[in-house]
Amino acid sequence: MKKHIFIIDDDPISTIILKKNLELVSITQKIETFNNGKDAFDYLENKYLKDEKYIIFLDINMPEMNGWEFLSKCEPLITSQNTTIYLLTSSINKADLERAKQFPLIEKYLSKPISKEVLIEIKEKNQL
Amino acid sequence: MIVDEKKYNIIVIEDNLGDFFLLDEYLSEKIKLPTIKHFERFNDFKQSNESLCDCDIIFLDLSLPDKSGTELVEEVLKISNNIPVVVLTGYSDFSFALKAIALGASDYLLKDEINSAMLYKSLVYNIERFKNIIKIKESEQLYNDLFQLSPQPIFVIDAATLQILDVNQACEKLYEFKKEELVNQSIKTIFKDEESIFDNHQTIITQNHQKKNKDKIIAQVKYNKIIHNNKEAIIIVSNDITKSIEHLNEIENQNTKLKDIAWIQSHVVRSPLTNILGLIKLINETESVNDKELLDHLNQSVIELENTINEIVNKTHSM
Repeated sequence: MKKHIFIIDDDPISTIILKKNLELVSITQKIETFNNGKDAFDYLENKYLKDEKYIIFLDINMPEMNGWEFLSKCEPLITSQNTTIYLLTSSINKADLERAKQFPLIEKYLSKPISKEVLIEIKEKNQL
Repeated sequence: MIVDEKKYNIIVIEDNLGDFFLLDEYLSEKIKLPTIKHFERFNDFKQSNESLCDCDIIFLDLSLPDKSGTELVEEVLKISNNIPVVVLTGYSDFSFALKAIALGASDYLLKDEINSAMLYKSLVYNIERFKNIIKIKESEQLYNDLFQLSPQPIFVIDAATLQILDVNQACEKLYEFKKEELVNQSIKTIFKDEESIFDNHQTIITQNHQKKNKDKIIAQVKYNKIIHNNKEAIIIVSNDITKSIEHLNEIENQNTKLKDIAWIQSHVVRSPLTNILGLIKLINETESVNDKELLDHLNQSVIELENTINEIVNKTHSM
């Protein structure tokens, strides 16, 4: 089954760090990056396929369409059957953590900076 | 015969010497040591009014050479504020004696009928009764003061017409209206925006009121039904809460700013910080201390962090 890895984050440095870390744990799949939720949603709206797998690293605070808006827009479109979303954010705000629990699409709430150990776990879980 | 041994200070205003001597004699019959001050003219009495404060009672002849009738009664009552005045008159002036009572005299005596017993009874009765009247007056004054001098603005309005019947000084001060300007006006002069004033059955309501200069204030209003001059009335106590509301708004504003700052702390400050942490971890793990690209990103993130901290400091200053 084809597996897509998405990074949705407006901060280019953060994206670079995540990419380098993915390399470090030998995740070699092609990675799609988006600067905001809208670009990612537009992509999914056109190209989302039920029989392919999606692993998404999603930032919360972004211009145009933030992480929450992206999640709300995606809910009717995609299922957690083939999509795993990791909310990857620098926020340590409890309210954000609570809000994350309302979205069944979110597999885990991860605080930046992401550690190699967590990425290895993700790799194994999703068989990347 | 019983003789009263109490001290009495008595003023007699009488121009007829014969009548005066008779009076003097009657008084001395029943009272051991009466102190009697005699004035033949109204003006003599008026000019010596320092001695009035320890006087117990005044006997006043209704026709004096320099003043008589209504005018005389009124003038004497004005001077003798808290002392009972008993008027003396002949048969021919009987109807006027009644008028004197209506004007505020305590009693009347018909000269032709006076005897010592009757005079003594009138003296004692009027002195004692007047003490009670003074008590009632003081109590009335007290209640009036409780209303007039209450630090809380109070209105009394007609329950049916909503016309203002009375306001106290605090009310005049708060709304900057004179009492005369408010009495007989509708309460809607003040409760400008209130369509339904008292039909919601709440006893405490917050309302917008208007002062004379059209300034709006926020008032918390409590009211109760009372009977005022035999009419159903409403007593309204108004509490100016404009300042506390403004204060509350200010605090809410500050809270919003604090929430802003908390949000910035959580999202904006931590963003370059987590990048710095992530980059250092990467540099360590890949032993790429000389990786120009990573070092540039590190530098950029540090600058970003500094700017964000400055932004927060500025926001805090503006609070």
